[in-house]
Amino acid sequence: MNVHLNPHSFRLQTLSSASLVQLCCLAHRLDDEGTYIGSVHLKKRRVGSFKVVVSGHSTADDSQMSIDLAQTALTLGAPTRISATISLGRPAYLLFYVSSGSGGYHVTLEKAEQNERTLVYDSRSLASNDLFTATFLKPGKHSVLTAPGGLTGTIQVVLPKASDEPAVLDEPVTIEVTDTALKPAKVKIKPGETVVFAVSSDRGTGISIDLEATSTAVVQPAPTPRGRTLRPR
Amino acid sequence: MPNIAIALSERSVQAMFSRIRQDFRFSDTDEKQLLLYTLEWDLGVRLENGSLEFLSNDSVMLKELDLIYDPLRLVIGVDLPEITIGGQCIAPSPFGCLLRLPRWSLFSESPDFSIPLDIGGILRSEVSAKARIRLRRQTENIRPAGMSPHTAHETGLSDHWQVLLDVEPVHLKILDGADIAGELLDSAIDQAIEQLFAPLPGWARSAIRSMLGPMKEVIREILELPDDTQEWFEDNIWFILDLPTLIADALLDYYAEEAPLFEIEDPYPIIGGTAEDLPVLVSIENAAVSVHDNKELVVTARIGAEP
Repeated sequence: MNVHLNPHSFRLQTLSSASLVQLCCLAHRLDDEGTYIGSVHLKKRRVGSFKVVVSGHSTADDSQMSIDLAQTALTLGAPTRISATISLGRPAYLLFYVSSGSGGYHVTLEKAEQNERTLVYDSRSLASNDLFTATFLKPGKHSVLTAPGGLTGTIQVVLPKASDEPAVLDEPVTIEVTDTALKPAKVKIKPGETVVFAVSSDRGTGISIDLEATSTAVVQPAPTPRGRTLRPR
Repeated sequence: MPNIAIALSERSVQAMFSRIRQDFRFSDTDEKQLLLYTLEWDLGVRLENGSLEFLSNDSVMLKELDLIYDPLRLVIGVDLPEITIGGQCIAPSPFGCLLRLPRWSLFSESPDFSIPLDIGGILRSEVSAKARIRLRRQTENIRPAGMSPHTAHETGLSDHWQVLLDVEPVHLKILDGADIAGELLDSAIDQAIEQLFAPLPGWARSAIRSMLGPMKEVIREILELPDDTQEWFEDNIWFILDLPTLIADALLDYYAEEAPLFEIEDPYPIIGGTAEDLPVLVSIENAAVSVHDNKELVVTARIGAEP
């Protein structure tokens, strides 16, 4: 027997935009050209860095730069550096994710201008246009709380009926995070599906998701109000 | 014109065949990497029952020999498809997807697991094969040069005329045991799945099941395992092991090279020796073998001069 289960995927009880782990992502949109220096932090320790050049005239046709925070933190004591150029021709996003390990990362971003660096982003305080995503495996009722703001919502993860065929996973459900509400505040999904929190608030909010109660109920999810499909503004 | 002819009835030859059949042994240990799974095997084969019948054209039919697989240990290594989640587009646009999620593997690497299956003594195949009767003069290679025929006779180092069977390609058919082997395979798959997911809580198994479908069905699909286990053994496992060829070669090696039906010493002690007198040895020349009218096997030869 030579089985390597990824235990972290199955142990997660809490997800937080301020402490990125496997199965959640944070996408930050960059609207200005320039050179950005990113730092990857694990708790209070800086464990990696990266450089991004955002150019309006780049030939790069990819609007997304994905950064695996676990990879940047691989070389302890000697922060890993990666660099890339993305184009502003289309909305440009930095996508932070964790491919392995127990995680717990956050990211800061400084804009380098002449000889100065200005802190322009701290992932613990989400900015407007940020997308925080969470993919759920564990059936049950997960509560959502934003802070500051104190907005609440629930995500019900429901096992589909046992079938000989794999369940068809639906497209991600989007919940808009405004200053006053989560829209919608309640969603129902299946294990393996993803919820996207689209932030449209400038309050520097954070999102945390906790498992309230495990459910073993096997119910086919009824059609629920699906979130809107995100379109770049 | 031969001056000696030995005629043997079918029953006599049958008895000779039974005597050497029980000493037949074949074994093979190997492994093979296939597209979706690996197969390791430790195989032993022996023969039981069956009969020998005379045919025309100096041939015989070896009929309905039972092939007993003992041992027959298989280890089926299954590479499960990678189980990933994520990868969806979270920012579609008229220009295409602007932002796509990464994929997470539920396993830290491509998972694989083994299904051990010990079905020695359970499966029984039947094999029938046509064989041509052949006569061969077997020279005793280890006899020292210059050794006298009498010394060679006394020390068992004389040459021999041997009647052998050139076995032709065989067809294997599983006679019985496939049902039991199928049940054992089914049980082995269940146990392998149980071990695979043992570290996981029940909800995680349910979640994986919902994403993949029943794991057992996934594995049966990988193994191309139909409901009919006999068909699977004959069409897949025997084919992978190349068993019909292996068995045919083993039978050919055994009956055509190692185990003659009977043999005649050459020179032949036509009058046995005593303590005082040496035996009278005569050479056997121009020996031939044939099956006459499907009734008797006849060996003819010329008795030559005393060597």
